[in-house]
Amino acid sequence: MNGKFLLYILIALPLIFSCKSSNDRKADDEFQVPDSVANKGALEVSDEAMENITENISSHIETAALIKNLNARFSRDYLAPTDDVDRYNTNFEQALILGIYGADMGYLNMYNKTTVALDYLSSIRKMANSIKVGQFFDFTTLHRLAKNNEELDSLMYITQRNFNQMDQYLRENNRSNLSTLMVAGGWIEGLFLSAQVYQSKPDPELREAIGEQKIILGDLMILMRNFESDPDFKRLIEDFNDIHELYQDVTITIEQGEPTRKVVDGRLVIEQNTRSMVNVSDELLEKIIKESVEIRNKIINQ
Amino acid sequence: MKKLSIIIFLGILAFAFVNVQSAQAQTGEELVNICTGLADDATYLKDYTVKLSGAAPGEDPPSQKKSLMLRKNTQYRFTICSSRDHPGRGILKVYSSSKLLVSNYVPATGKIFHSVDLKCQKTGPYHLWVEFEDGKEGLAVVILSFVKKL
Repeated sequence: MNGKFLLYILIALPLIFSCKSSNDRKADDEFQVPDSVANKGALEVSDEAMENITENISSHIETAALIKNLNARFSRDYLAPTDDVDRYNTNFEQALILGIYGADMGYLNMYNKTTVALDYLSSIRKMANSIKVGQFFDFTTLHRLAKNNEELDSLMYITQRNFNQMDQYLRENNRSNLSTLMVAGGWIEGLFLSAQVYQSKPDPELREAIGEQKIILGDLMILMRNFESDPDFKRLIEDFNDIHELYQDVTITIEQGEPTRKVVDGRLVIEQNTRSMVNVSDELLEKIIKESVEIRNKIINQ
Repeated sequence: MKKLSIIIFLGILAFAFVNVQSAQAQTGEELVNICTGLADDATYLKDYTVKLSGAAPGEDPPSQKKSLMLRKNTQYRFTICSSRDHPGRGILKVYSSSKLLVSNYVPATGKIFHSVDLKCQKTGPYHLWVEFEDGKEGLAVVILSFVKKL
């Protein structure tokens, strides 16, 4: 009887441990979500809708690529400072600034500014650890790649993937409020960077990119309003409302066309012939730029 | 004593069997890394993992929807990789305003491309649908990557 019991234990043990293996990082780093940061009350927007909206907010890399494609000069002055990161001591502030640093990392990676990136990696690690998502940030590998100025594609890939994983983990663990803040921080920093570059290099494509943020901001407002019962969120929404109102006067028109398909070097390439066109007046653009600077600076100086 | 040795041996055997099985099974994480490599020189933006069970006879193939935002004047690459541990080969479809824009499957030839590029000219939300050929069960990863500004 004892022998059989021992046999069951011996067979069951590896099964138990192997079941754990695929999710061990997640399980080992599980933590209790403090009441102060957990979602409060029932969400008005479903989890699925939240996910769809969040996925609908485009990547920092595309903004950085657009800026670089214009042959705009790199400027460290555009970036959020990292020298006093300890001042951000609430999860609300930390998630917002993490989003801002994420956008700055996209800009730094695009320009291969690995030395400066090292400062940002340290600050990102600190903020990620503070909101308990540091386990998704592969600091050791990123630090090595940046320090040795090697495998820049890998540096960009791991940075972007880690941010996606942090965001996904927050959403899957009833912490969509922090995910939303990261998205909001990244969005305002992306707009800020575009606006700064536009002021020194007023390119029509960049102007259009700033104008078309109307589409993304609409989604972002839905995300943020989901948490407006939180006083910190309420204040942030009030700030974003100002720029959202300005964006109401941006017009976007669509010209319909049929797509064309061809195979190029063994790869199927589809050319979309439906086009979107953005119309934003000089006066309105100036107001949007001014407002973006105010909101962003208020966040980093809080 | 002999009995105990057999029991311990069986236990070790079970442990080894389970761990070899788990080591060989292709995870979504592995697929992401493989698939990112297949996207060639394009820059990774996002990944979507889709796992679907097989369709019952007479049923439409199951599919899963994801949302994404694409920007004007940008060339994107969609790369799809299907797990070798499941029979289904992944088919991706991208819709813009309910209209099919992109698919890696060409019905006329039956060919399934592992990647497809889109030269996007309209900024806005798009919907990515993933299903498996003939409604088979499958696990696939789709990588959205950035090729270049147009």
